[in-house]
Amino acid sequence: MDRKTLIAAAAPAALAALGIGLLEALDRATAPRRAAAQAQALERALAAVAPAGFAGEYVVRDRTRDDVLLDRAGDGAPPDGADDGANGKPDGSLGDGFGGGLARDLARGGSGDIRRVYVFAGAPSHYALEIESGRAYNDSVRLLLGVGPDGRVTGARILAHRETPGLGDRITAAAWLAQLRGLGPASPPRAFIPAAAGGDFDGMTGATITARAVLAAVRDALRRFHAERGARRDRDAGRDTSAGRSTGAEHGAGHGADTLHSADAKHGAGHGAGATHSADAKRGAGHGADTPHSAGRDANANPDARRDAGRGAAGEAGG
Amino acid sequence: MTRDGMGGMLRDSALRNVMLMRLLGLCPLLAVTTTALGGILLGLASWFTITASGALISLLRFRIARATRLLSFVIVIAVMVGAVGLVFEAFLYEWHRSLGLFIPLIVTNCAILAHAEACASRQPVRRAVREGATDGLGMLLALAAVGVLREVWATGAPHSLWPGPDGQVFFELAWLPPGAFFALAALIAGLRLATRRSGARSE
Repeated sequence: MDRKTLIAAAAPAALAALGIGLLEALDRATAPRRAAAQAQALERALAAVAPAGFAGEYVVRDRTRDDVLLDRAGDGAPPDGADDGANGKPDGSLGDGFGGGLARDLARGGSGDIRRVYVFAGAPSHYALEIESGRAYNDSVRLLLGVGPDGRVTGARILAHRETPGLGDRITAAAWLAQLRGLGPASPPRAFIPAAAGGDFDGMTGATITARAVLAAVRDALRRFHAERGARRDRDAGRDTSAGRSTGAEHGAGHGADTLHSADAKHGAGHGAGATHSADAKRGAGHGADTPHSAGRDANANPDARRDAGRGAAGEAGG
Repeated sequence: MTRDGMGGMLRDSALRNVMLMRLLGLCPLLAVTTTALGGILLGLASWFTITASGALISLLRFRIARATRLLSFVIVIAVMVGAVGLVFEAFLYEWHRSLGLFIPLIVTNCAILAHAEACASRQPVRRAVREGATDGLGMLLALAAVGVLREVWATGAPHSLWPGPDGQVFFELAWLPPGAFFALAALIAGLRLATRRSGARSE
């Protein structure tokens, strides 16, 4: 290489090095602030799906090798922090957070991965599931699903998505999310298909690809969680003490936000005691109870479904 | 051609508007302007990027070899955009969550590269900053105008700026891609009409 070429190459190389240094510094400088913003957003979402009387206290359960819900000691922060939403890798951090047995088999389906489970203090049979959809229009969608003692959705909030603004991103509208309320593991398959695609979910959006992915994830997560709770109940019936269940005092401390407290003592008690189990049993018994609900959905089915379908296809293609 | 003072800058930003008069960088103009807030924030990000990258490129203009200048420009622009993205994520998290994915696309805005090549790399810093800020202001105004127009057209008021009742959509077309073209056409026609009537010349 002659001298001229070297000089020509030196400028972009030096600029790139400088630029990377600058961005790295800025990344570090803004990291606490970004983490705080993320934690705040999570907390607002939790408050939105929590049972009445939620006072900001909850416990985080990450998925572990065993398909029992266990604490992951010392780690309360969202897995892999900010990268989580930005990269949207469905299986990036699944290795340690969620895996093994049944869970892994189901997770390979790519829809409705349950990344984390939040247990609300004082309401041990009310959960919030942080789930990740399969690929929607642009990428996977991460959402938080409140699940009541009967296994049905009590509320939902979108945590991260990369859908088309003005179209796919209407899944974040309160009106759309409100439609998820009441869906359960025993709801018929049609209830999880948007009206625009011929199902019963009256979603008021033409963005069928986005809505389908999110609804499939909700369906899979609800069923998976239901199955897993059933399995745990059976096992717990075998060995009645829940010693060693509660290990996560450091959990809340690691979480970054001040208002979060680990309420493990309370939670652990509720866990082993009859409260959870009886609720589970009731839910298990009332399996067919979803029928009147689904009938209601049918009655409300959107008469404009055809129109939505056409517009949705055209719109998503254009965006 | 370049007039003095803030008034002159504002006038230039309209008469030589990057997007509405020169029709450059239309991709973000059409894609991100579903709401007034989206248009304004992307406009601010673009304004910062074109001004700051222009200043840096002007500073470095004797050190950048001709053969690799475009590569160097793109690196500078990309670093500025990366910085904007991090700052937006830290301070405007809610907005960043939904529209943040458009910020990296500012790198590919041809108007910013055009400013680097045609102006900043040949002019002293003061002038490069002034021209960059003028063009950036033009982009901000155009993005904001299309955003406000489309949102008002769709929902009756710019709810993204002062939240009102949730989700009443009157005219959905405004939010879909064709709506952007209609809004753009209306603004181009309006601006051309105004400049012709006042007898002003853009060249």
